[in-house]
Amino acid sequence: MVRVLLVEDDERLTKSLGDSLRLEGYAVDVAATAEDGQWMATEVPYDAIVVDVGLPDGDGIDLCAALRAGGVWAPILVLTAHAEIRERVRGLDSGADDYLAKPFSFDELIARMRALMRRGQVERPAILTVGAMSLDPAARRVSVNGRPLPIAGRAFAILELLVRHEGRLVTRAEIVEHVWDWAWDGTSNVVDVHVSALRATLREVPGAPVIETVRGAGFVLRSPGVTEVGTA
Amino acid sequence: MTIRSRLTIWYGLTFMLLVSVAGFAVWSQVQTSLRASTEEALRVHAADVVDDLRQGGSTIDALDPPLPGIFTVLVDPASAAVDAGRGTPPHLPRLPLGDSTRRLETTGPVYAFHVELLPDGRRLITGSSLAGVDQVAARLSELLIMVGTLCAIGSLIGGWWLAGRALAPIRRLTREADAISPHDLGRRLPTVPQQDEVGRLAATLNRLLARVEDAVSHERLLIAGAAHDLRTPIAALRMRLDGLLRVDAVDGVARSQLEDARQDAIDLGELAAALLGLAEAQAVGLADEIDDYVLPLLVARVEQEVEWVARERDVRIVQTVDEVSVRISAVRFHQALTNLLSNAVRHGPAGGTVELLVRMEPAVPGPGAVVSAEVADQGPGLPASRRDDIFIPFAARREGSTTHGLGLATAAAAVESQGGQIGYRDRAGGGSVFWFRLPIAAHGEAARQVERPLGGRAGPVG
Repeated sequence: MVRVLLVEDDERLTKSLGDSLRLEGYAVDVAATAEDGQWMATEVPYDAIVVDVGLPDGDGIDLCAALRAGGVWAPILVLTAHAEIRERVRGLDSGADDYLAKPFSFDELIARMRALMRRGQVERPAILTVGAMSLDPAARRVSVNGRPLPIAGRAFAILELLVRHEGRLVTRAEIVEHVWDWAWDGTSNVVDVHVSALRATLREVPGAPVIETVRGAGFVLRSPGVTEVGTA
Repeated sequence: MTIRSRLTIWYGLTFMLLVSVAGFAVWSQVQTSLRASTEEALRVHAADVVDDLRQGGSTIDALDPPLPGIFTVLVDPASAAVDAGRGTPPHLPRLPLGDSTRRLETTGPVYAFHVELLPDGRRLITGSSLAGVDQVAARLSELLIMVGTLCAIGSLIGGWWLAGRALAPIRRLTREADAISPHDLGRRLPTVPQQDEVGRLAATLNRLLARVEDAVSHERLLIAGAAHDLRTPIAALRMRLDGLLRVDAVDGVARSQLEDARQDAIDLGELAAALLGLAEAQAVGLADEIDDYVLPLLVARVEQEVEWVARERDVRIVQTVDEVSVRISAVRFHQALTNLLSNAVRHGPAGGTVELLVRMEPAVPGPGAVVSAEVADQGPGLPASRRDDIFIPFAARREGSTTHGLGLATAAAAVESQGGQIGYRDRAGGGSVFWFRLPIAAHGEAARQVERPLGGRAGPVG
């Protein structure tokens, strides 16, 4: 059974959300404070953690950072109340994997959690490297020659996928499958925008790998200097 | 008429009046003195001639007069000239004893006379034309008028300059006060160091601004706080309704009622979100921090905000984004683009396409470079009558629609806080294009002023 930790202090929300998650077949534990949340997440190997930004004894973002620092690698979904737009826009470099603004649809919450858990189940080596770039899937950190890059959330998930398939073609469908987990009609070009963001970020760093677009098919990540055209 | 013109006229008039009075006084004093000295000379000369005659002098012209132009006449008691000296005018009338003045011809000069009675009954008359005195007085008055005119012109110019100098701080205050927009209510007028009227006016206006800012921020905080606090209960309500609707046993009327209630909860949540978004966009503070950002990354985050609604409404978002880094306020960009995109996704036709075009213009960074964003939908477009007020809060509300008319106002507040522009145009082939341009900061330009954080975290977090 999939085990989920819900760190949220509002009783009405924990009750309704907990009930709905249980109806979906999840085992749900609830922590009402950051302290309880941290303790429970450290003791129990959860499949996913849902954290509210505003907790009576601290900030949900700080809790994420503390969990990551304490070696908790379960995917974390942060519930915000929209006022934290600054943190959100600056990227979830605190260690959270995704966020959802209140109030949200239960379907969306489930879809995002599924996507995070699917990613979380991939077996992870300690550190992935491509040329001078190293990517730590557990800590959600990317750096080139020791210089950290501001890549987080979905962009990180896509980069991780490309790094795992270095030199090989990764199709848009594979990226959607890996990162989004919901019905995909294949018409929107949202993947291209994310890849474009990654490419622009990497291009500014000397020694970073290059993302090539294979027209009509997908993308290939290469070490700098490698120009051979690869196939899947 | 401006205060400056009025001050100048008053100053000039007063100065001219003073100069005229002083000029007239000088002129009349000079004329009186000259006449008095002529009369004195006549008396002295008469006394000298009388003495000379007593001591046996034979002629009245023996002595030189103290002033040139003085003539002497000796007349008998019947006023017939017994002896007339050099320069005596003909036909002297009978003159009274002592000093007198008289015009001998109607157009001729005035003469001054002094008459002495001799013991033998004859009279000695000394006289002189006053033409010289009048000439001097006339020259003097010409001179005074000339000097007065110059002084008047000088006083007008000086008055204009002085009034300009005195009013310059007021003009500066006016300019500064004009430049204060609703987005930078934290701004104050420059304080004038000296404690004069202008200094006090600036201080008074600054206190007024502070009160306005306080009132506005209180109102915004109230709205933001209320909207913020509403979100968790609304989320719980929605979650409960979502949960109930997942139970198969709920059917028929109950299901339909629950579905309506769920839609109401969604509307409520959106209203709270929109109010909070607007309050954030209007607030000045951390949101205005400027830094370098990869443009597609910012767009990807915006896309994430609307992807679920787009999926529910089967709306396809086609994006074209320049792969560049730009120096802007990421929060303001996010607020603006999220609201425009969300507006297009929610109110464009279900199953349609929304085109998003984000680029840097011109393509090379430099002064005047902007991030240009365009969101095009395939909706009905805007009728001409509604184009003027769509960016005003609640003005964009549509009849029978769930939109609250706050999204576009939020986008406008975010764009305008950065000195950008926002607008609407028809899409070729039907539909709407909402666009905005955000100025790109020069490299090295630090974060904008963040001395009065109001946004960021409005109200309690949670």
